[in-house]
Amino acid sequence: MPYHFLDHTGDVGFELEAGSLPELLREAVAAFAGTLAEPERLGGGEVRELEVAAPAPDLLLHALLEELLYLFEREGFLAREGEMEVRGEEGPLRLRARLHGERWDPERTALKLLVKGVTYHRLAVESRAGRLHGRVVLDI
Amino acid sequence: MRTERIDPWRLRIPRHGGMRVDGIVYADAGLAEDLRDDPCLEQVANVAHLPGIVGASIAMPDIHWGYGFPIGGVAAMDADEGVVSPGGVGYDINCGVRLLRSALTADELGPRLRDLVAQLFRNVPTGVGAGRRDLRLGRRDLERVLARGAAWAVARGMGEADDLLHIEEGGCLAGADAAEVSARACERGGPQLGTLGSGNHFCEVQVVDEVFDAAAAAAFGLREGQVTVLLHSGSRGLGHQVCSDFLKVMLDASRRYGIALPDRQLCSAPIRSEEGRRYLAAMAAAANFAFANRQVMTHWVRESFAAVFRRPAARLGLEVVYDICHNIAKFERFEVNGRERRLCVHRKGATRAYPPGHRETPEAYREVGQPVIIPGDMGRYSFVLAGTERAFAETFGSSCHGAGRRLSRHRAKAAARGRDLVAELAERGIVVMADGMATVAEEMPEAYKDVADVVGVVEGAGISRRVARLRPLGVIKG
Repeated sequence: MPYHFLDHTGDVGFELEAGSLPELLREAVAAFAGTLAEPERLGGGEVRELEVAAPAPDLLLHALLEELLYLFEREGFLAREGEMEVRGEEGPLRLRARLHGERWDPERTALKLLVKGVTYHRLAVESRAGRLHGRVVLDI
Repeated sequence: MRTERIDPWRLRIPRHGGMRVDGIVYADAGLAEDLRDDPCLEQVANVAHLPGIVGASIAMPDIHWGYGFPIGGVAAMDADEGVVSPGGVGYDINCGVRLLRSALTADELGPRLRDLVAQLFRNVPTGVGAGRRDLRLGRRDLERVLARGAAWAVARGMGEADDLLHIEEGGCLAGADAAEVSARACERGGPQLGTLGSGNHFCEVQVVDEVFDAAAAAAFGLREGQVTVLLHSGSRGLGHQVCSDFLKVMLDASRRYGIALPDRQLCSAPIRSEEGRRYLAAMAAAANFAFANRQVMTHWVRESFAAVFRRPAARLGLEVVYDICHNIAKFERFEVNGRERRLCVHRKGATRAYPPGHRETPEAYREVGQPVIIPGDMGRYSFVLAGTERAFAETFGSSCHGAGRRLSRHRAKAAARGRDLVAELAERGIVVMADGMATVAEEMPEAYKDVADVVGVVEGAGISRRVARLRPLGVIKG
């Protein structure tokens, strides 16, 4: 599993590792699904598309996660995976995401916890030894 | 983080680097041992960097690692020269607790406890996507909730006028502006009015099992053997989204106003700036949503009792003892170095604890001090305290807010593996009903510090005094 959960006393967080920013964002979708539910119990038959922009990779990761949270709270849609396209070599980074998931069904999938917000505390996307490393703390 | 012990109850983090004031942490030797390697002390120091902070960056003994501010943090900012920080309030704006007393004794409740908990579980929506079909708000209704708080629910027949006299700020924070609450916040939160939520939120049926201060307990209408109900919830998705929306605004504002941030989650704007004004107006609206939320659930708690005991709620004596915020920023007046100053007091996991005689303490409690309600964990006990003069002088009228987590959720689940926590609690006479067992595991009693230790520190330090202890009998959780 290319993401792992952080041991935060009050909240939850995860760290991600990938070879590229789109790959890291894909991991973030999986990590978010894994925070809320058992991802292997989630179907992928429904699709949602979204676009977000941010001035830096860490803020793009933050913006994506906020959209995932909103989709879940608004319509119960829980994405388990996604295809990511990132543009913006000059100027803000723009993400187009095509998300695969399903509306959460409490009869089929137990929810592990509820997320209140995506924090900026220790938020990071850094390049180390040719790999990208991301970190996020969620308020629950 | 280097600390110096001031006295048996307090540690000082001496001012260093960009800190504008010292950090003061209320902790005895035992609690301090738990903090030694915890990032929360660094967070106390980080808060001390914020412009306009007055006195000290303070932490209560239930301090634990948060994001930006530590949980248990108190920071008072000068109203003219200071900043306001959404991270100093948190996502769950006006998360708080409300205590109800009843005319019932635990003996009278005994045989009906399980029925009552089941009725509460049916009537008070918990968990994800929960909401009652008989409470659907249009945009205009929601605007009224944001403007009027608990009074909106009372006007709709969900409560008594007397309830409002026993809520911090009368259940309505001034300065709310619904226009500053985004459409997304309304969309997230609107359907969630009157819902408990998940995580550490709960509705608990309790019994007063010990009284420490007979005069104060009598003033609060509490006596040994009496059944009480404690509600813990906040502003739900609406408040969460207000916080998220304004963190973005404040990140830009911090850059524009040159506010150096040791942690981006502390992003802030001057209180007197447009960004500061807008956040405070939106925050007040979300706080009012939370007051209304607890008021609506109070109504359903009363209906649950009435259904189980087949008597009108009024005859069961279900009255509000007090309702307090523990995630909020409010303008309050304090004397600092001999001069009265208007301050914006951020309490992030901390409770107001006003002394006897204060005009904002409800009249019925004015001789003994404001009730300070401190939930513990679902296996042990909670406390009712009273505010003191010393809190007013030392902590901007603040005290602790709960037990404080000791184990991360991950470690709590690991500790719960293979155990039947519901059965364990049942053996101790506590009926638990929850949407999911994962929440019960995360919220297991061992995940929390012993709240008696936390309360021992605030009483030892003189910033609150114990009035009564409440033991859980039944709990519903999301």
